[in-house]
Amino acid sequence: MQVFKALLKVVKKNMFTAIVYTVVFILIAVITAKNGNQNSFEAVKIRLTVFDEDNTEESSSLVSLLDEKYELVDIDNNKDDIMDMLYYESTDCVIIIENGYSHKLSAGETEGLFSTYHMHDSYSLVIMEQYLNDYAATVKAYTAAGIPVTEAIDNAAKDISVETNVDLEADSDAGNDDYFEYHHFAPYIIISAFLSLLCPVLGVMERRDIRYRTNCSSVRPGSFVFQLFAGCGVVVFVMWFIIVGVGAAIYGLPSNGRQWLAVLNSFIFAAMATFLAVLISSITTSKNIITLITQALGLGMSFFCGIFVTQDMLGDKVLAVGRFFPAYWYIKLNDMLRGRTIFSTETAMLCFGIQAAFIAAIVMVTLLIRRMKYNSVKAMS
Amino acid sequence: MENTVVKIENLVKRYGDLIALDHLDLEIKRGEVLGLLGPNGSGKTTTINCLLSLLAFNKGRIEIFGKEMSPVAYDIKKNIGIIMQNVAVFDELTVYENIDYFCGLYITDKAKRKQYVEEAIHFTGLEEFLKFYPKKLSGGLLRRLNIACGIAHKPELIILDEPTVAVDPQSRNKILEGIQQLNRDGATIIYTSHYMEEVEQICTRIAIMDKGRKIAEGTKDELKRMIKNTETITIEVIGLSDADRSVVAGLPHVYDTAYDGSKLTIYCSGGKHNLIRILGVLQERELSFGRVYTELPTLNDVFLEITGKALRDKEE
Ligand SMILES: Nc1ncnc2c1ncn2[C@@H]1O[C@H](COP(=O)(O)OP(=O)(O)O)[C@@H](O)[C@H]1O
Ligand SMILES: [Mg+2]
Repeated sequence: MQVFKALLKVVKKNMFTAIVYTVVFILIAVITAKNGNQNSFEAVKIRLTVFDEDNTEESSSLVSLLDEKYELVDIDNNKDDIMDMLYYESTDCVIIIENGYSHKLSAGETEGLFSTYHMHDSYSLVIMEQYLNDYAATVKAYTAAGIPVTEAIDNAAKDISVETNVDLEADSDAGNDDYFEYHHFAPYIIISAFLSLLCPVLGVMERRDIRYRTNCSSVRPGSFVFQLFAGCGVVVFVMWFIIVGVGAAIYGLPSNGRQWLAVLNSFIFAAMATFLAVLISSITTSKNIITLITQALGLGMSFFCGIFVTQDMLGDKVLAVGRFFPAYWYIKLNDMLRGRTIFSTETAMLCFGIQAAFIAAIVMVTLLIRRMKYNSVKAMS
Repeated sequence: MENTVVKIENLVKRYGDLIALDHLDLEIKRGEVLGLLGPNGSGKTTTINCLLSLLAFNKGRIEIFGKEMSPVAYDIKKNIGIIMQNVAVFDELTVYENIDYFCGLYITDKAKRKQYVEEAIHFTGLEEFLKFYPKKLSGGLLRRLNIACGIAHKPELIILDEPTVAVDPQSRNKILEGIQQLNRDGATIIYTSHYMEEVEQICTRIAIMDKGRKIAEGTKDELKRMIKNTETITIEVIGLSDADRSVVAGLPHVYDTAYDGSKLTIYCSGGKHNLIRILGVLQERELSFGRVYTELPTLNDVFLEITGKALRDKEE
């Protein structure tokens, strides 16, 4: 276990860096979690201004439906007033029920029923627009089945509110949302802090002349890698424990199954980061290249996988790229656990499974690269 | 027990178009101190790296302790100690921790390792620096640490690649004595250097390398007998005419002369009384001379004669 012990000693020499990284990144997570949270609470407080230009029974029943769910704000229907109200955030969104709404609805059309205007994008607004679209689609489904429009509207209103209840239940199941918001930033902390600490340490272990000396000894390459993994594993476990511990200290201990799953999720992600560090160090020991890779991965994952901007706000193309990063699956699961999407055990298993598959792939590539690099020196006669 | 420790046959190593090792043959017997002498870039380190299976080579065969060497020949590796040209230690570990780490790669038994590490510390005289980090050590001490890391596990074959580069004369002597001590204790040694004095001082046999080839091999006396130069005489003399010089050049045993305006250098081969004869000529021609030196041939002369160039750069 010489290699393992030496690695921990090298880490000890880098302790200051490790602590600084952990503290800085936890601070970032706590601060951003706090800001991020204000957005997610808007779902309840969202204020709408509705202009009913159709003025029919159908349109006014939609207005009253919206009135039940959201806080309605009255404004004069003139452009300047609307802009002012939006600008000063006296209302979050203006919805115009277009003239001809009832006709289109009874004709089974779902396009061009409403126009919406808002200044800021937010998760709750997306939900609200989704809500309107769902409503129109449900009405269409009923009318298509031969049910008269008035009845279809009633049914749709009931269906939609049932779904809303389900949503609310999911949310309450998740418990404290801060907890998940904190974990939302874990991939960024983990990738940045772990790689920034582990890669230089591994770089020392892999320094060419020291490697030469090690390779001359009777230590098997397999044992060497294993000890690297083990050493990094210990370090990562401690740092992960601190990150989760700080989370618990601020937001309370995990109090339900979902929060424990979030903890497990971050543990798996941390394991992934460990193996990734060994992989990167097997490819290069150049400090500059490692810094570059770390930053590219940290920022890249954060952007493509929905850490800085939530996944439901990202375009399909971005998410398609994101799927190739483990962080995507981490976030997808975390989003589900906190109740942003409907919870399903299969999806949870899928997210864990894919992260595990990433780990397996990383380990395999690592072993392969090391084999090529250190173990294939043979006379080519 | 097998008497041949290392056997290199027909070794060829190319870096692209550059032939770093050109059909090299080398044999090292048990108990020898073999010196690999050659200028920078002659292929000494490449030879060592191939020998240790750190480098893949293009052609040839390497046997150590009678078995074929390979990256997975762990039973061979555990009996080799290696001191690299570059100091290869952890800056993050102390002197003691470094020696313990590298020794631990071979010796897993804790008590035994502790004893071995302490012996290595004593051997290299690092007792007072155990808690030091390498960055705090002087060049000489660092080299000694480098050696301690390589020999702590008591290997049968010890390979030292230019272990005295950038070391003060005092440390250098300590290192050279240490190597001879290791040899007396039973280790076979391969020692590479571009300092001929060192190689002459400690090696029982010397192989001279140039451009990836072995150009000569033997004990230092054998090597010196191979060349015609037996004595180089230098005389400080001013105002030497071409006529004077050609008389000197015409003396018996003198095979070459050189004159730079203040110093006359005369290369002699064989024979006695060369100096007396030359000084006689100068006196006869009423030339006054200053200091006179005479040198016996060195390995540099051997190298010079075979390759037509000096073994090492003047400034070293
Ligand atoms: N990795 C490498 N790539 C290309 N050329 C190399 C490499 N290593 C050594 N060489 C070349 O091989 C020759 C022998 O080098 P080396 O064995 O280091 O010499 P020495 O140890 O005798 O100074 C030199 O010309 C050197 O430039
Ligand atoms: Mg060299």
